[in-house]
Amino acid sequence: MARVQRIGIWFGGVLAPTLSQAALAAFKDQEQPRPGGLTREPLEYPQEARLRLLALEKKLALGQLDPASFCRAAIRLAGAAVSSLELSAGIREQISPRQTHPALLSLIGELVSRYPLDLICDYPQEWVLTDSPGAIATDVGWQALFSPESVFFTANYHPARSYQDLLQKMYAEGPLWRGKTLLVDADPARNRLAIRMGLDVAVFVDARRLRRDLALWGLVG
Amino acid sequence: MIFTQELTLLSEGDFYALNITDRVQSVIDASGIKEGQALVFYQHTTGAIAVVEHESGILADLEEALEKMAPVEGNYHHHQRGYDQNGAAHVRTALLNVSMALPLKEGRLLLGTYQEILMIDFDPGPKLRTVVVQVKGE
Repeated sequence: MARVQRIGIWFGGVLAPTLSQAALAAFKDQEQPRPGGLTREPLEYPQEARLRLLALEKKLALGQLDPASFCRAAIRLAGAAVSSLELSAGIREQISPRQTHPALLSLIGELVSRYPLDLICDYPQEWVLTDSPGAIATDVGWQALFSPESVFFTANYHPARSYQDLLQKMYAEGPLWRGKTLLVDADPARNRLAIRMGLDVAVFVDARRLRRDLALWGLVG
Repeated sequence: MIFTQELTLLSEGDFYALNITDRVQSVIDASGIKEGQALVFYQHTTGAIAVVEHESGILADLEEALEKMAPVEGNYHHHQRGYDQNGAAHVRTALLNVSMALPLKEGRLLLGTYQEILMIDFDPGPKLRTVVVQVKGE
């Protein structure tokens, strides 16, 4: 019998794009061809700016930056001609289950009927919740899978100075319980921190690989 | 025919292990080459390409094994120069592989069920890393 009793799913990078990816998609990707015969993958954003956007993403997730400031800073980095409101609307569109791979939604649906699932949400509440406190936005649509009490916003663990700090707080206060919770996260750095803390981690790449990993954990057939 | 493409990858460093299997396969798809080999080459001196099962426990075990051989906080001759303090990353790179040649059949990587291609960056701190994928065949 599997010892894992709960599954904690990190939102950005698993069910939704990462905050950076969502912002990039909202800015409408651009390809920058390079002369000389050696081809590059299509660029979504100036590469150095992507590093800086990653730092902004971290600050937003840790509650060190409010959503409006994140949008303003991201727009400055991109040199984009959009408003903060337009960007946040674009990001909200990116995090709808409509954008999530059906195979992953199907797997989550399977899990939710068998295990308590916790959603660890690194997106701001105002991008995920409706006006009614505690209810997940119907227009975003995750309410069918996660009850309000099973959604944990990372920014509410403020003041977390780093992801390590955040994970420690989540370990002390929930929803991450050593020996009980399996954390599903796509971020290599956070996964490394979590496993060093003694947490069980399933690395997320895609639905197919997650199903395979969960089967090896004995959690799905 | 030879087809070469660079992957520019965002790394946060400190044993940052990124699964690049699908991106390598995308390069192969773009090449149109069906039979041959794909060379995956890490274009830096502080990281590696590994073909392993992408499982968090395995990565932790690998890091612990490398920590025994080349501890991050070790005292390295490389530091004497005073330019940087990443001697462990260089030694770890030398112990592992910076490239892997992988077989192709019918346009697909011939990987085993659990084999995944990982880029592992040992250097501390975030930076951009380049992996070159060169597909050779017909």
